[in-house]
Amino acid sequence: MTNKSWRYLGHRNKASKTREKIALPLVDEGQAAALPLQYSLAVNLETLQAIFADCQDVVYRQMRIGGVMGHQAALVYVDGLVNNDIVNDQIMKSILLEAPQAMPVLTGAPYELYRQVRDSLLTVANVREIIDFREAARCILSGFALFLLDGVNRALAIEVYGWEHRGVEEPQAEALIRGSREGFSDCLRTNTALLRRRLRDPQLKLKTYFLGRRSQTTVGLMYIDGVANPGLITEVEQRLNKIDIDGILESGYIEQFIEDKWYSPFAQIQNTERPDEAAAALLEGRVVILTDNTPFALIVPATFNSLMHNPEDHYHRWFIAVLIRILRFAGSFLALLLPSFYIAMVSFTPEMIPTSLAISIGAGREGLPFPTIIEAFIMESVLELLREAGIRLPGPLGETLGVVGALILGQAAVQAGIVSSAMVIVVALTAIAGFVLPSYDAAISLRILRFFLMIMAAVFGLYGVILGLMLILTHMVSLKSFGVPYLKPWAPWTAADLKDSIYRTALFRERLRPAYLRPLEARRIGRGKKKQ
Amino acid sequence: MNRRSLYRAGLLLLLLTIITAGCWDNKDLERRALVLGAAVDLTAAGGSLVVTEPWKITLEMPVLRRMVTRGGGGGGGGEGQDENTMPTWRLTLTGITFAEAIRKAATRSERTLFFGHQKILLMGEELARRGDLRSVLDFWARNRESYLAIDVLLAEGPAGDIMEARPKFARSVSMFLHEQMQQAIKTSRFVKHSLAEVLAALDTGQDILLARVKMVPRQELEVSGAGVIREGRLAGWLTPEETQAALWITGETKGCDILVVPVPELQQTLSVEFGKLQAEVKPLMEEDKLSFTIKIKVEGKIAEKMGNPKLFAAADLHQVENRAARLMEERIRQVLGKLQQQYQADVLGFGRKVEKVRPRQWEAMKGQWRQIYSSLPVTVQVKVSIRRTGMVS
Amino acid sequence: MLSQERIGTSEAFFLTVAAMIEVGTLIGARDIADQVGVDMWLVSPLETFFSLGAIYILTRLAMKFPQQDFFGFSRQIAGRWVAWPLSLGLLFYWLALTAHVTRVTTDVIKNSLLARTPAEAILLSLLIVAAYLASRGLEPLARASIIICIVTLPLIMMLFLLVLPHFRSDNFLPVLPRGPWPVLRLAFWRISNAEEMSLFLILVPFLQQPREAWQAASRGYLVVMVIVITVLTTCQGVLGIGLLKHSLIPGLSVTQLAEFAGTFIERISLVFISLWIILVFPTVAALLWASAYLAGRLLQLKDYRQLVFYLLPLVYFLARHPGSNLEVKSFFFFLQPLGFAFLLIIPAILYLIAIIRFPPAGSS
Repeated sequence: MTNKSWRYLGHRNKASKTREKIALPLVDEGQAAALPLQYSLAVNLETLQAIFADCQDVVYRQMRIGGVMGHQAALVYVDGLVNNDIVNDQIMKSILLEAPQAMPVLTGAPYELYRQVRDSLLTVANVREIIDFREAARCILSGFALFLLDGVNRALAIEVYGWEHRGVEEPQAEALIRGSREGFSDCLRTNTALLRRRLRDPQLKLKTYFLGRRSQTTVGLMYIDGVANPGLITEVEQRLNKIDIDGILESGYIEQFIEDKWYSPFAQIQNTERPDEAAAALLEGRVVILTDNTPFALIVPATFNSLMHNPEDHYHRWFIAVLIRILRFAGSFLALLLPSFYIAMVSFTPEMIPTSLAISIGAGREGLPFPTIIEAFIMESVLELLREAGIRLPGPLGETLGVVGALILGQAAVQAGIVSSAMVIVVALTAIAGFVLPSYDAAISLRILRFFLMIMAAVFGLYGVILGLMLILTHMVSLKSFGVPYLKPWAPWTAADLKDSIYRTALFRERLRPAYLRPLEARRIGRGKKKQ
Repeated sequence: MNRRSLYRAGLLLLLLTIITAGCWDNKDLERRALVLGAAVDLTAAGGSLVVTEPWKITLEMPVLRRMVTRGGGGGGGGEGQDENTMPTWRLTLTGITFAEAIRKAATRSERTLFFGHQKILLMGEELARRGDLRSVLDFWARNRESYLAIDVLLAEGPAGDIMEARPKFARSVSMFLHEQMQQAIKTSRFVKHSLAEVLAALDTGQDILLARVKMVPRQELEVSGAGVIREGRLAGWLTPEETQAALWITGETKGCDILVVPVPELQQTLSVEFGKLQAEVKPLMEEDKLSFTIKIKVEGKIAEKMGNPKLFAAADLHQVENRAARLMEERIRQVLGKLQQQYQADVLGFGRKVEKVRPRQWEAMKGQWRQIYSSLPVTVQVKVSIRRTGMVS
Repeated sequence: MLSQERIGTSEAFFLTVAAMIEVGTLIGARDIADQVGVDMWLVSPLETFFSLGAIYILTRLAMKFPQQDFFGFSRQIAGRWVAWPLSLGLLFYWLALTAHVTRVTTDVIKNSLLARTPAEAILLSLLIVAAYLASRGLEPLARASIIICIVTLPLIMMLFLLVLPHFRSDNFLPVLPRGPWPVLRLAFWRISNAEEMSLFLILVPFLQQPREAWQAASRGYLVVMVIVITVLTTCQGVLGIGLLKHSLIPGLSVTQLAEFAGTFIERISLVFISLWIILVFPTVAALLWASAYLAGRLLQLKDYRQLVFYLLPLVYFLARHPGSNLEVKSFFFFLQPLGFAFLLIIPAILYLIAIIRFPPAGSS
C-alpha cells in the first residue's frame, strides 16, 4: 500500500486508488466493483474461487436441476455462517425436488428457471438479486447463500444466516434497580429489533453503513425522523463517511474517529448497553449508532449532564430521582476532589482540619516513610491496580480479590506503618464515590483528573486545586460534542433545560425536549391535563 | 510548529517548571508542631524592664502519639498513660520580641511551630499590669496562621504556671480552657473575648474585660472573674459575682447560672435561674449633664427553694421578683462603683454609647472622658419576671 | 469585525458578574473605611446609583453603534487621530488593571494560603491559567463565568450568613458624624471602581441582541453590588470600624469569626478565600481577552486570541513592579483617574458628539 493511499478517503469516494492485487476485489471500489456476473456458471465460479482462494470454509455445491441433462447450478456459502437446516430443507429441497416438478419442460430457457426459483420456489423470505461480484462476495460473507445458475448473469442471495451469537442478556456494565433487564446483544439485527420493539414508530429510521475496508462491519444509524435535527444527522453521516480504516471491531473505533477532540479526557460520545437508554436518547432527539458485533451503542451528542444521567432516573418518582442525582453529583465531586483536598489540607493548611482530627491524623502519620502526596499516589495506584485486576480476573475470584486486596492490604499497610489509616479511609471513600457514577466513561475521566489535581495540590495546596479546577473548567467550556457545548444546560445558560439537570422536575412537567438538541418537534408531553 | 505555538509551548513549559520546582509550602501535618495555646509572661518576676530579653512565652504542643488514646497508628497507647502526665510538651522561650522568641524554637524543636490550631492566648498578670497589650498582641494580629477567633485570657500570677495544670477531662490545658470558654454564656462568671474583640478595643482605645484563670489546689484550673484592662494594661480584677453583674449590663449573657435570692417575707431562700436577659443602656443629656440609665429585663425560673415548705402563690412570686430585682440592682451598683471610681475603666462601653448616639457631644467630652466617667450618675432599673416555678408549684 | 463569536444576554450578565467580583472587593472595605470611617456602609449604595448612571451612558454609547467596538465607534465619532490614543489608553488601562488585580490576588494568596511560595510562582501560574481561559475566546469565557458564578456565589452568600450572629448593629452608629459630603464625594469618585464595566465598550458587537446590552450590564452590576454591599456591611457590622482599618483583608477577617465547633472544615475563612480566588480568574481572563481583542483591532490582526499570551510579560512586569504591598496602591495611583475617565468622562463626551453628529432620527 502506498503512502498516499493511506490518506483517509471516504470509502464511497469513487476517485480512489488503484490496488495491485485482484484478490481484494470486494473491498476496492475500483474495477472489481464494476465486475459483473457472467452468463457462464463456470466463469462465475472460477471468479468466486479466485476471490475466495484459500478460504476453505467456503462451500461450492454444484448441481444439476432436472437430471443429467438439466441446468447447471451452484450454491455458494460460508460454512458456519449459515444455518444448515435451512439450506437443506428450504433451498436444496425446493431447487432439486420442486423445481423439476414445477417446470416440466427442462429445455426451457435458463432465465425462466431462474425466475421460477426466485418467484415461486424458494421458501426463504429474504432473497436478493445480485449482479456483481462485490455484492456477491459481501453477501456470502454476511451469511447468505448464493444461488448461481448457468446461463444467467445474476445470482440470488438467500438469507440463511444462522451463526452462533450471544442472546439478549442482562447488561453487564450498567446495573439497575428498576427498568428493563434486556441488554443489547452482539448482533446488530437483534439490537435494532430491541429498539424497534420500544419505539413502534415508522419515523424511527435506520440507515446502514458498511464500515471498515476489510471488516465491512455493519453500522446502523438510528434516529427519529421529525424529531432529531437534520443538521445533526448530516453531521453524523459525514463523520461516519470519513472513516477509512481496515476494520471496525467495536463501537469504540467509531467513537474515536467521530469524536470532536481526541485529546480530551472527557467522553464526548455516550455509550450504552441498554436499549431503554438508547430509546430515551432517540426520543430526546439524539442519534444512536449501533455497531455489529458489540453490545455497546453510541449516543450522540453527549454532554456532561447526559453522562451523569441514567434512564432509571426517569423510572423512579421525581424526588427519589433528585436525591439520587444530588448524591451522584456529590459523589463525582468527591471522587474528583477528595484526595487532592486531603493533600492540600494535611500538607498545606492543616488549620482547616478540626484540631482533634488534626491530632489523630498527625498521630497516625507519625513515623510514616513517605510524604502525603507520595502516600496518596501509592494508595490511589494500588486502588487502580485492584480495580483493574478485579475486572480481569474471572468472576467470583475478582470479587474476592477486591475484598481481600482492599481489606487485608489496607490493614496490613497501616499496621506496617507504611500508610496512615486516614489515607486508607480517603482512598476508600474516593473509590466508593467513583462507583456512584452511572457511566464508566465519566468515572474514568474523573479518575484521570483526580491524579492531575493531586499533583496540583501537592505543589500549591488549596490554590493548586483551584488552578487545576480552572484548567479543567476551561477545557470543559471549550469542549463541544457535535456542536453542543459540553456543559449545557448550565453553560450556556438555558433555564428550560435545567428541569433535567442536577434537579429533575416531575415527569409531567418535563414537557419539552432538550432545547440544545434543536429537535424539530419540541413538545414531548401533550398540552392536556397535568395528570391522569 | 510555528512560532506562535512555540511561544505557547514555552509558557506551558514554564508552568510545568513552576509545578515541578514547587512544594514550597508543602509541610506535612506530622512535621509541624501544633501550638494549642500560648502563655506570655515577663521574664523578670520583679518586673525590671531593663533585662535584655523581657518576654517569655510558653507554648503548649501536643505530643501527637500520646494524645491519641485509641490504638491507632504504629505503637501508640503503650506509653505510660499516667493520669498526671499530660500528653503535651510545654516549651518555654525568651526573647526581645515574641517573633524572635518563637523563632528560637527552631533550635529546640525539630518540627516547625504551627499556630493554625492555637486555641487560647494566656497573659500573665505581671505582664498585663506592666506591658502594653497592643504590642504583646501584635504578633498574633500579624501572623498569617493565627486566628482572630482565639480566646484571650488573663492568668492570676504567671501564665506559664497555668500551663502546668492537670485538667482531668481534657488532654491539654489549652483544650481545657478553650472548652471552658464555651461555658461563658451559661455561667457568666467570666467573659469570653476573642482576639478580634481585644484588638478592636485596643485599637480604638477602649477598655475591656478579660477572663481570669487561676490555679486551684491539686493542679486544677478555675476560670472565674475578670481582669479589667484599662488603656492597654491590667488595672485590677473583678470577682466572679462582679463579672456577672458587669455582663448583665453589657448584655453579653443570657443571665447567670444561679441567683440566690433570700426572701425574708416568705422565710425562704430561692435559687433563680435566668433564661433570657435584655439590657438597655441609654445616655441622657440634661442641660449638658450626662447621665446613664440602665434598664434590664430578665426572665427566669425557680430552680430550688429552701426554708419554708409553703407552696407559692401568685403574689409570692411578685415578692420574689422584687427581691431578685433589688438584689441585682444592688450588685450592679456595686460593680459600677468599682469600675467607675476604683478602676476608672470604661469596660462597659459607656463612652462608645455616647459616641454613637451623640457624636457631637462626644467630640467635646472625649478629652476628659475618664473624669466624666468616674462621676457619671447611673440609674439602674431591673425587672425580673419569673415565668416558671419548676416541676412543683 | 474580527470574530464571529456571539454570546447571549444571560451569558453577558454572568460574564459581568464574574468579571466584576474580584479580590478587590474584600480589600475595598479598608480603603473606604480609611476615608469616611463609620459611614462606610453608606458609600456603596450611593456608589451604585452614580455608577449606574455612568454605565447607562456607556452602554447607550455602545448600543448606538451595535456593530462597532470602542475603536470603531470612536473613529466614527471623532476620527482616527482621537480613536487611536483613546484605544491605546483603554488598552493600557485594562492591562494595568489586570496587573493590579493579579498583584492584589497574589498578595492575598500569599497572605492566606501560601506563605513561603514565591510570589512569582503564584503570579505566573495565575496569569497563565487565566490567559489560557482568555485564549479560548469569548464564548468559553462566558460559559466559564456562568459555572463559576452559580457554583461560588451561593456558597459565598451562605458563608456570610454564618457570620450574622456576630453582627452588631451599633457598629453603624453614629450616622454621618461629618456630614454627607465626604460620603457623597467618595461615592461619586468610586464610579471608577466599576472598572470591569468598561468591557461593555467592546462587548456590544458580540451580543446576540445588542439592544439588550444595557439590560445585561445593569442587572449584572446590580447583582454585583448586592454582593459587594453585603460584604462591606457585614465587614463593618462584625468587625467594627476600628478593627476594619487595621486588618489587611477585612473580608477574610470577618469569615474567621464564623467558626463552628465540630464542623468538618474548621477554617471557613480559607474556604471563603478560595471561592473568592476562583472568582478572580474570569476577571483576569475577561480583561486579558478584551486587551487582546483591542490590541488585535489596533494591529489589524485576524487571530487576536493568541495575543493574550504575548501580553502576559507586560502584565507580569507591571504586577511585579511594586516592592511591597504598601507600594501597590501608590504605584497603581493612575487607575482611579483612568477608570473615571473611561467609565464616565470619555463615554459622556463621545456620546454628546455622537448625538450631535448622528442625530437619533437620522441614524436609523
